[in-house]
Formats: sequence, structure tokens, C-alpha cells
Amino acid sequence: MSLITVGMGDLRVSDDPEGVIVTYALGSCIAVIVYDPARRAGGMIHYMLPQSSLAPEKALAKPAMFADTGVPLLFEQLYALSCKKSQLIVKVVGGANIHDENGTFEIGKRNYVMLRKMFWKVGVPVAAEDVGGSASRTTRLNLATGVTTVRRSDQTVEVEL
Amino acid sequence: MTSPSRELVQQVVAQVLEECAFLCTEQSAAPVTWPAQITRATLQFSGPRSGRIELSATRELTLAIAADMLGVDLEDPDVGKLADGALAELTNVVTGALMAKLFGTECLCELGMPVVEHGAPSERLLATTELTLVDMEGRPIDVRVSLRPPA
Amino acid sequence: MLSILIVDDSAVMRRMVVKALALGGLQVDKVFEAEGGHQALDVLDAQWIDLVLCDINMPIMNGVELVEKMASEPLTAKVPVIMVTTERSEIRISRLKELGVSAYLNKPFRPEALAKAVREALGLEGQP
Repeated sequence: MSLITVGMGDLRVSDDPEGVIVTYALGSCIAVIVYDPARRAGGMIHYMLPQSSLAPEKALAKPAMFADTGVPLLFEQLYALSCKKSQLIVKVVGGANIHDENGTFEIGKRNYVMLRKMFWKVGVPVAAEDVGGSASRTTRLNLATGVTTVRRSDQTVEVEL
Repeated sequence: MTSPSRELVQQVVAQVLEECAFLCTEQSAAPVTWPAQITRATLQFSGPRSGRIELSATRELTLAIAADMLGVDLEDPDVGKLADGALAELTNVVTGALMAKLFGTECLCELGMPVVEHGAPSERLLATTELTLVDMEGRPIDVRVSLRPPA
Repeated sequence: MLSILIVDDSAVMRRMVVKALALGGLQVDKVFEAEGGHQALDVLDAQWIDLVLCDINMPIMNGVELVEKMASEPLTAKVPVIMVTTERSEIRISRLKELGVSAYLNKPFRPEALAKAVREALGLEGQP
């Protein structure tokens, strides 16, 4: 097994038949996990904020930090691996409401709503999701099988999504 | 109950705005300055209590709401044509959701047809729950819920 | 290939339903639209319809009246109907289930949930 780690504000795609893509500590951040079962390739993004207009220079340097720049980039990189849009299975994890001092404009919810808006506009269905709540999450995608698992910080088991 | 709590109204309206129009909102902390012309959608309802719901927003926000509900760019020609309809439908969805929260689902509630007008912001009536929400860009949406006294 | 009739007085909502069907990957050949039950009956008279997606609260003839009318006519009694509505009254839901509606979805609806309900109503589960 080769572990492919996606850090915060990062994305990875792969068609390594022994690859497992993983990202950790999804609090208010969101992971979008995409898999093409015919191609046996997939990818994952771990984005932190909904809109790049909040920090355009950062978005140029690190597009995967934002939903509106990072998620399209994830899909572009998958198409570059010969994945087909009609075959892609998309899952979403994260977007927890982590308490902040003001409690206003919860980032987790904003991240999630922005993603739903984008997917609605371009016609991408979400096959499964584990979002919201207050627990942090870790998620993995097994590239050989397409199985996505999620482990929440308030649970001891990793479950299939 | 003379009028529903602001918290309940905010909860329902915010959820509908998020799920229908992909708009995240919070209660406005400061008084809002409205333009001379706004778009207002009003819907009358009846059930265990009868009343009225109004949603008001600037033209700019109604256009954005329409674009997001339709899933198109702001420049799409249908956005301008359907903006009023988008606010009307949002008001319809908010009313249905609020009726269920206020009266439960065991009774029958009748919803009227939403009516959309363009005009100046109006004074709030007595016995009305009113709150103003703003989206991430500070654009306001005003919500008013009036319940008539029980018969 | 499917022919679907969408009945809602809101043009915005009709567009959203069409988009949700496409997002759900359903191969819809023809989409017909009606602003109310009275127009829907005209479409049902003139076209082969595989499925009706219908609001309740509409002027002239509402969704319940439409479903009652469809249930009373041999040619339309077997056409599956999914209600897509803001109304949540259990009295209405029970009445509509008695009339044979396949599913009842509240607005706001998830497009994936709508597509799933359509597949189930048409017996298309597991098919593209």
C-alpha cells in the first residue's frame, strides 16, 4: 500500500493501484473525494475556505486552499488522468462547526454551502456525505476498490461512506 | 402566541436560504440602510392561526438569489426575468417550513399565492416578528411574520 | 427514454426540478411543464407521460385536485406521481398516499433525493 497524504489546503490525484489517499484533521475544512471506478483513479482535496476572493494572492499560490479554485482544479487533474465526468463518484466529508469566539459565519457551514452551490451549478451529484456536527474527521480513499472511509474524533471505528 | 420568536424565524429562514439559494446568513448586527426601491414578496396563510409572511431584499440580492437557485451565471438573461419569481418561491418555501414549526404537521394549513411588489421599504406593523439577515457580502434580507389574533 | 411532466406555478421551481433530474443522471427524453393542474390535464390528454412531478399549492387547480382527477381516469390512474411541495400536513400526505402517489418530497429538496425518488417510482434503481 502506498499512502498519499493530502495536507490542509492541498489536493492529490492518483491512479496508483496500491494507493490510499488520506487526509487528517478535517474540522471546518472539507474533503471532496472523487473516484472513477472504470479508470481506477481518484483524488482528494482538503480545502479550508469557501471563496478565493477573501485572499486572491493566496489563491494564486495555493488554489487548493479555497473551494472555488481548488475543487475545479481537482476535477481538471482527474480529467488529465483520463477520468470521465459521467463516471465520477463524489463524496464529501468535513465542514464541522468548530466553535469560534464570535460564533458568527461558521466556516464549516460556509464551506459546505459553497460546495453545494458549485456542484449544483455544474451538475455534479454527491453520492454520499458525512458533514457538520462538531467532531474532527479523517478520511481515506482506497484507489483499488474506490472504498471511502471516515473516522470521527468522537468515535473509535472507521466506517465506510 | 402573538408572534413567533426571532430565533425560530431566523432558524427556519436561514436553513431555507442555505438549502434553496446557497446563501449563508446571520442576523444583522447594525441597522441596515435600504435603498429607495426594494423587492418584497408577501404570502398570506391560514391554519390554527392565520397571518402573513414578507421577505424583502434589494434588487441586487434577488438577482443573485435567482442565479444561484437556477444554477446559472448572474449575466444569464433568465436571471432578470425570474428574479421576482425566485423571491416568491423562497417565500413559499419559508412559509411551509415555518408553518410546520409553529403549528406542527397534524393540522391543515393553507398557503396563499406569493405576491411580489417593488417599492419603498415599509414600516413594520405591530405584532410582527421582524429580523434582518445579511449574507456574507453584507446584503440584507428582511423577514416579517405577523400572526392575527385567534378568532 | 422518459417523458416527464413538471407541474408547479413557479417557473423557477420548474427549472430547478429539470436541473435536478439532469444532475441525477436520468435520461429524460421529453420534459413538459404546466403551471397548474388544469394545464397538466391538457398535457396528459395530448402526450404520453411516464411520470408527474407535482406541487400542491397552485391556483385554479391544485396538486391534490389534479391527483384526484388523474386517479379517477383510467388513462392516467397508473401514471406515477411524485409530490414536490412545501406543504407538510400529515392529513394531505395521507390523502395523497390513498390516491396512490409514489413519493412526497418537501421543498427545499436535495437533487439527489429527487433523482432517487424518480428512479424508485419508475423502477429504475440500479440503472443509469
